[in-house]
Amino acid sequence: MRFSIIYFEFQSTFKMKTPEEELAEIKSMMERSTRFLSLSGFSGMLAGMYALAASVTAWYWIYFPSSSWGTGSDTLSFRELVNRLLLLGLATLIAAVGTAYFFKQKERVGCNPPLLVPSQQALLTVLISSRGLRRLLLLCLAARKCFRTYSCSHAPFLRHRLGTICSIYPREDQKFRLYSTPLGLDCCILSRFWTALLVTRFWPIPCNLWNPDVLPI
Amino acid sequence: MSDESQKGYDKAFDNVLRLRIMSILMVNERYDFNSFKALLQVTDGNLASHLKHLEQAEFIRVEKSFASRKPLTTYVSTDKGRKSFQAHLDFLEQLIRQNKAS
Repeated sequence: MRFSIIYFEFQSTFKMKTPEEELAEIKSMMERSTRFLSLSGFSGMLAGMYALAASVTAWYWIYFPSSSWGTGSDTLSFRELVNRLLLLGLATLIAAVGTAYFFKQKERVGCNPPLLVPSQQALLTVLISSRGLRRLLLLCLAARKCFRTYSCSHAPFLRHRLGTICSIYPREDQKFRLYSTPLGLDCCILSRFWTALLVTRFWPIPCNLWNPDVLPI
Repeated sequence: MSDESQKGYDKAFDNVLRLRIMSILMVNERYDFNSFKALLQVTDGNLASHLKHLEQAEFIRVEKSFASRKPLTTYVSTDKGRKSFQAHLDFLEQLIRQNKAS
């Protein structure tokens, strides 16, 4: 106790309370300056509710199209169902992002904290930059071509190649390199995850659905 | 304060704002002036004077560049600054341990 009293006598105008609080303050500042996105809990809760509502609607459209929750008409055609599901997904995404943005703006009025800290800005710049978009387009084209021409047995090879392409671009980008620690690893993992998700999960669906030659049903 | 108890204590971290600045620079490779200002909610003059203090102590380094034709001032922590901050953290830990023991 004696040491802490002496220590805090040494402190000037801005006084801390205790060493524990000072350490907590340091930790909080480190977290706040590196946090990827600080959204209010309420917007997260609402996003979850939108997702639940959308999934219930989609479930009724798929399994009970003639119920009061669905269209109130006969079974939907496959193409109609796909269009509706895509629109529903898009509407849910827009509603969730819009709500998050609204609450963030509301929170910013008065105290005006930054919307994005530099590490977030760097990541978004890389993802949105023309180079990032070019890579994404390349991936999409490659995936589309490959899923039409190669059989499933070639998919792991393709995935590996695309993963390599995608993981190169953060290292090439100068702006990204500025914030390489600790974001470098995050972005590299994110880009790999994103590629894997894009190639293995989402991209085959539109490829197969929009191409009548390879319709799954 | 005895020499033993002062070990690891640095007067540069007397001020909570300087401590916050160093905390941010410990986990971010670099941070720019406007982002500091927005995150710490302080005035330009106040922030500039504390950054100057840390710069004079050679705890941080200033880098000036241009982003979209606008001047951009970024700050980077030096090895000396990192070591001092780590020593300060050790000092705080030591205080906590001593308080618990007493």
